[in-house]
Amino acid sequence: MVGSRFFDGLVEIVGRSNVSREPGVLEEYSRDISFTVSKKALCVVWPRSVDEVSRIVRLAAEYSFKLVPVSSGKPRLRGDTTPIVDNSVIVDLSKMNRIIRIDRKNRVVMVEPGVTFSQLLPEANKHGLRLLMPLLPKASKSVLASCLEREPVTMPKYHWDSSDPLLCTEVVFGTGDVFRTGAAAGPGTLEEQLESGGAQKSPLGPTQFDPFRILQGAQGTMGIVTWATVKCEVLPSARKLFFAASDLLENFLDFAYGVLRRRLGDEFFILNNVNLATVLRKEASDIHSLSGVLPKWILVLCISGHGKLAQDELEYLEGDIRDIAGETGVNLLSEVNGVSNGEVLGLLGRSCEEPYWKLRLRGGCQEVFFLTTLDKTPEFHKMFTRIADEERFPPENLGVYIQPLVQGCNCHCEFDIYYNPQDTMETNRAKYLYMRTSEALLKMGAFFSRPYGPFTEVVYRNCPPETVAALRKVKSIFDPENLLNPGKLCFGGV
Amino acid sequence: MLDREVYRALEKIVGSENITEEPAILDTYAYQWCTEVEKASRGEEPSRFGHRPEAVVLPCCTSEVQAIVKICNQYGIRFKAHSTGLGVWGAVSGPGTIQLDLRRMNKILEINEKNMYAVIEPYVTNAQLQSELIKRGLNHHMQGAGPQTSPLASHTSMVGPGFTSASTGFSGRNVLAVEWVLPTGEILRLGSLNCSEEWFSGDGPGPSLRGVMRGFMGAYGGLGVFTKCAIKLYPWPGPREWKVSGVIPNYEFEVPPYWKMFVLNFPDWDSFEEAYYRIGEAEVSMMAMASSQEGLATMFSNTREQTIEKILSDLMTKVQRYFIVLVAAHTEREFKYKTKLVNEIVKETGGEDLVEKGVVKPPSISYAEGVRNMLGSHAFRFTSCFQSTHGGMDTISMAINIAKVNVPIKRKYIEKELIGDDRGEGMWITFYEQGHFAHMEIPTIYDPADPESCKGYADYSMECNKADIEHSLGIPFFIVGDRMHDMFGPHCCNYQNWLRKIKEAFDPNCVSDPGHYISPKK
Amino acid sequence: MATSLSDYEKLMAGCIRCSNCKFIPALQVKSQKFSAICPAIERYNFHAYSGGGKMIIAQAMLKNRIQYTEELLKVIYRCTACGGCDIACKFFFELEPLEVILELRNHCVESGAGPMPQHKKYIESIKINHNPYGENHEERLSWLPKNTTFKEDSDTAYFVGCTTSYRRREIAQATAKIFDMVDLDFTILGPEEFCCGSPLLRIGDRRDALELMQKNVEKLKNHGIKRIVTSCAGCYSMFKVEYPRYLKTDFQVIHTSELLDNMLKNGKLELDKEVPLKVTYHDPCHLGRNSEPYTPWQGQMVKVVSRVYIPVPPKAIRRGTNGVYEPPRNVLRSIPGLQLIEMERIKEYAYCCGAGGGVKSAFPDFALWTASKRVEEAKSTGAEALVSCCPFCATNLKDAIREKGEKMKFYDLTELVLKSMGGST
Repeated sequence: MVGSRFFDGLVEIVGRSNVSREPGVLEEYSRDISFTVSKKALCVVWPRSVDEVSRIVRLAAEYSFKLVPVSSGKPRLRGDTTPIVDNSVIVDLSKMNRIIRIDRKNRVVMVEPGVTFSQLLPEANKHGLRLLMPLLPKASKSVLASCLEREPVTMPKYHWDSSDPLLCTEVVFGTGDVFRTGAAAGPGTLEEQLESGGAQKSPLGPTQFDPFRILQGAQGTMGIVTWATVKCEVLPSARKLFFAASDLLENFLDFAYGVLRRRLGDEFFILNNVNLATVLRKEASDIHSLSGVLPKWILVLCISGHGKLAQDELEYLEGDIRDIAGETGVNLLSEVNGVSNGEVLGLLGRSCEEPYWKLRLRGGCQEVFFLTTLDKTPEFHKMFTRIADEERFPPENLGVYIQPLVQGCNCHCEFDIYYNPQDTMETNRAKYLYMRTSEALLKMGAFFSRPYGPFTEVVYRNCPPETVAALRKVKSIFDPENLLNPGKLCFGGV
Repeated sequence: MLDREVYRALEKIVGSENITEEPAILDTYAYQWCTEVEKASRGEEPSRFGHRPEAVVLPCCTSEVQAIVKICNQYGIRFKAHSTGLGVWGAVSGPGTIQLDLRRMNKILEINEKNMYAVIEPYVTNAQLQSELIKRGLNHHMQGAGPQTSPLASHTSMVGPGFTSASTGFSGRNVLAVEWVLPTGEILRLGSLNCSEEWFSGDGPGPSLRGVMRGFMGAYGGLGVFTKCAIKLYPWPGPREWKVSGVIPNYEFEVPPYWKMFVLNFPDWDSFEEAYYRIGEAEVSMMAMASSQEGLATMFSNTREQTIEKILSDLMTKVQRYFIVLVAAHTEREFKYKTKLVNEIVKETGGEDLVEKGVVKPPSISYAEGVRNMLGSHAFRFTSCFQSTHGGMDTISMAINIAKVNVPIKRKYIEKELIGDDRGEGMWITFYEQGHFAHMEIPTIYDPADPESCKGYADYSMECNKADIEHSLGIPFFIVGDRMHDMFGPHCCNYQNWLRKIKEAFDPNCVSDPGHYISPKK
Repeated sequence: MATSLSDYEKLMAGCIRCSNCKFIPALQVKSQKFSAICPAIERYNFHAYSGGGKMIIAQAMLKNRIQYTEELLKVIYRCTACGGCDIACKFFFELEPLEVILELRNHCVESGAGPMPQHKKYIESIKINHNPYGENHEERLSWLPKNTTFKEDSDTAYFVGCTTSYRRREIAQATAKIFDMVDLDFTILGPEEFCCGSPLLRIGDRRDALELMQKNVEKLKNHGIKRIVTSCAGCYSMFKVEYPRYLKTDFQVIHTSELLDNMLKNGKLELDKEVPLKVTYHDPCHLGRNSEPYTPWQGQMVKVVSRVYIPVPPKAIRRGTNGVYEPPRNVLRSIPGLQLIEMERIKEYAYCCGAGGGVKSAFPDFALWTASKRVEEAKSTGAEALVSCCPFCATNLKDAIREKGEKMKFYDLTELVLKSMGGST
């Protein structure tokens, strides 16, 4: 049987203990919390080296099986790592979990895909480094996967390019070829580059293309990345966190733009009361209580000082920020309705404790996120809440997260729909709200730069055909047999 | 000569005033800086006159560019577009190619002050854009080619180091949305343009096609025409009026308050390296770059005579390994903190500030020239011709190693009197994004009118390329075109095979001049 | 001094096609709108039209890559030879775009291909009528008001010039009146005054120009003229720069703006009538950046180190540093009630009026186009009037003002000075 020969081939590559066809295991990988309609995976394989990954890809080509790479642990919310076509094999990279190198001097770490935030953060901190990272990622989130997904990071000041903090990668393309992107491509082996003072830091190239950008946002459809270097920053020796509170999102804008222009703060984002309560509390009842007393909108801004002159640094930053606050009518606070800045500071630069914050309120979460500019977020929020009101979706189950990015050039705008996945009616309402609001936001100009789940199809249908054609050309180059996560994005299932 | 049918078709698109076959005019496009080096490297007689385009066409807008590209596909004519067109990489690389001069596409379409990006057409120059941005308290990343060249060209199609790279980064990392006429004539819009008329993002949906558009180097005209792009902007730490007084060449710049230039000198590479890394991490510099002693003298002089006077003074003995830092702050407290930190770092790393010591006095104009990316052009006062070897970008350590490896190689060619004598120490490093990345290039003087010198420079350049391979010192500038890709590719994961596939997929008729990009087949 | 195109071959080969020649010196750019310095490429767009473009064309000509054609003549002559490219280039380089442009024109004329037919027409007129306008030579002094006197035997000649005599008589009248009112010791050559030769030299007819210039030198000598005062920038630069370049001369040359400035400083001139006007000042190219004399260089290129040569002794580079910029401004600032507002492009990087270099004759539409740009810039300052010190600039700028129906006024400096003296013509 073809299936058997393929399975035997996998066993030969990775060893028996690293392949599974157990129904329970397959079930875990074949579904996630998203609304993606998925298919049952045929098996799960855990490679441990780039060589194994390359051989798996070639084997899949030989036997026409599809591969769905995944690196992070559960919970999975977006549908990108569940198969949506038949004959799919899950390639779980979590066993490739070495922190290969931490380089304080060059502010870079090199990690395999299975390295999670909870694993890496303490190690990086030990070396005096901190990561450019999302807000409270789940503990099992793969650092590499987060970078590949272009997840929004909490420090816009350090977000020089949309691709940050991803630097170089080693990747197995859909052809089975192993390639290294950026400075890692060569000349020389990685060791030879290190000897010459290189650090696989520059993500650019080699020469006249940037293959690493093609891997980002690709949901594993172009290649399977087997290590990446990730840009870090220096761990501060002193920090101070400020809040600002308002009932109107608009009231923050001038202040936010003033601070962003000057690159004065590190972590800088806005949450609504529901989401701040959700990150701070674990029990639904506590979340509701806190959410009820918090102001509608809370802005979080953190500054940091480094080394001997840490206090001097904090002083100038605080002084300049207060000047901007004064000019823009914003009141800076060290606590907001009982929540201290220390409490929130304690969450920054950390992975999330269980349960993952997005599941704390109702057990399920459908994210609606897109890129826009900060000044447009109020109007998008108005549209979202208008529809939610029309649908009578309880506002206490709607979270908002606004994250300026790329040093203020654009902004991640996220509406979190919290629902109980055990309750069919609630689930259906959440799904309906997700699709309806996404459509409305898209029509308003929301840019779904990282489309996931059922709405993906709508996103690409609204794109000019030239864009879809170009993406398909790229796909045909790096994965000509359409082995890798087929059916995702705008790449057909067959 | 173009078929009359083709000429008439092109003329119909742009109008008779905007197309020419006049040989004299064509020659002003055939002539390019560094053509003589390319020719010398191929064993040909060095001359700045390269291939003459079949015609020069001046489109005024995207639809005209598109129409022209479609004609090229229809008739199998190649095309190459440039903005101001500085260097052989802008010229056509073979017969049967038309030149698109994008001069008429010169509008600043939008300056989005709040969200800090500007949308520009190809022929907006750096000085023009900066002058408009300063009025709004903003600045942009300007490439070292100079204020008279095109930021769109640099951001979409060329390389991207600049004198303010410490704070404004690298062109290729500053691109947002782009409007792009593909070699097939389709118009591709990157990022947020896919869903609205806004330019704030150049990536997605899904994978980023910026990855196809360019890499460390751009496609140098080999992958279509970029007709508009949005670039990231930066804060301008100065007054909103640019004040330069005086009469040429003795201009005086009204140096804004809270601006201060340091020339930090160190006894050796090790202490230089330590300090350079620390200054990067300190996040204090608008500009942070290094050169040789001669470079220092050149940068801070207005005339050749002044430079020589400086060199012959005790500059050579008082300057060892230095880098220039410009602290440019918005407020007094920011300025106080940053200058204090610089001084602390210098003290702790065993350096000295040559400005404080009176060894060097940067004239006010150096501040202006620094932020307007003109300091590099001072080298032309000596020779009217130089070009750089190496150029690989990764870390500060690697940049320093390039400098060290280069010295004996360069001295060989200096001894033969083929290139300018800078003791082998001529160099230029800048770091990017507050020290995260750095590159090193070695500016080298040669005589374009002397075939021996041109050949000498070409040979030296090739030897530098080989050294980069041998010592794993990154991929230098100018690794473009089939020959160089086939040379470097096997040492770099055979990237050339992927690049060829991109070319084949996006330019099936190979009409976008592949000469400084890659051709589909070996 | 170089006398042929091949003398510039090595110099021209230094052009790297950087495009600096298209724009004002980068340090002076304050806006996109007023950043260009070269009207030719601004209008016609092909690189050939820039200063660097013409240097490339000259090289191509020397290498026998090209021949003169109708189109090439347009490229060569659609250029006012304003020198803007020259000073922009020379911020970093020591190339000589302006000299090459003029030498290329000379080469073109000597080859028989040039100049333009309209130039040939006025060359004939100069030969016959001693002015390029085809006007009667006997009428040259007809502008002189009856009540204005001058001394026959003074050694200071007010050289009126062709354009002032025949086209901008108001300038001549104002100037003569001012001189009369301050009792300046001056004479006017009248029928002995021939064209200075500028229209010939600038279009490349160096042979005829030199012949005329020689005659003029002899005339001036015969009249005992030791000092020439002129209100025309073109004549000024001819006498100050070109005459000493090619011939032996021993007269001093001074522009009316310099003379007036000196007189104000030493109390010989008082301006006490209010002229309440907001003005902006246009620097004529030939009074400004192109008015530095040539300093012949006798030296050697000495090797400093491998491939680096320097001229020893140092060569004086004509960069427009010492043009006549302050005197007209000083005079304007001395007029009570007058407010001077500067344009963005001034002094050595002023934008050309568009008339010079034979353009007004051969390409009047281009001349007007350029002038319109300059008028637009003048308007942008909020000034009510545009002031300059050259009759040719005056003609072209006034033509543009009229053509565009602008309300802006135009004055020569002398007209405003006369107003402030309480005089009239």
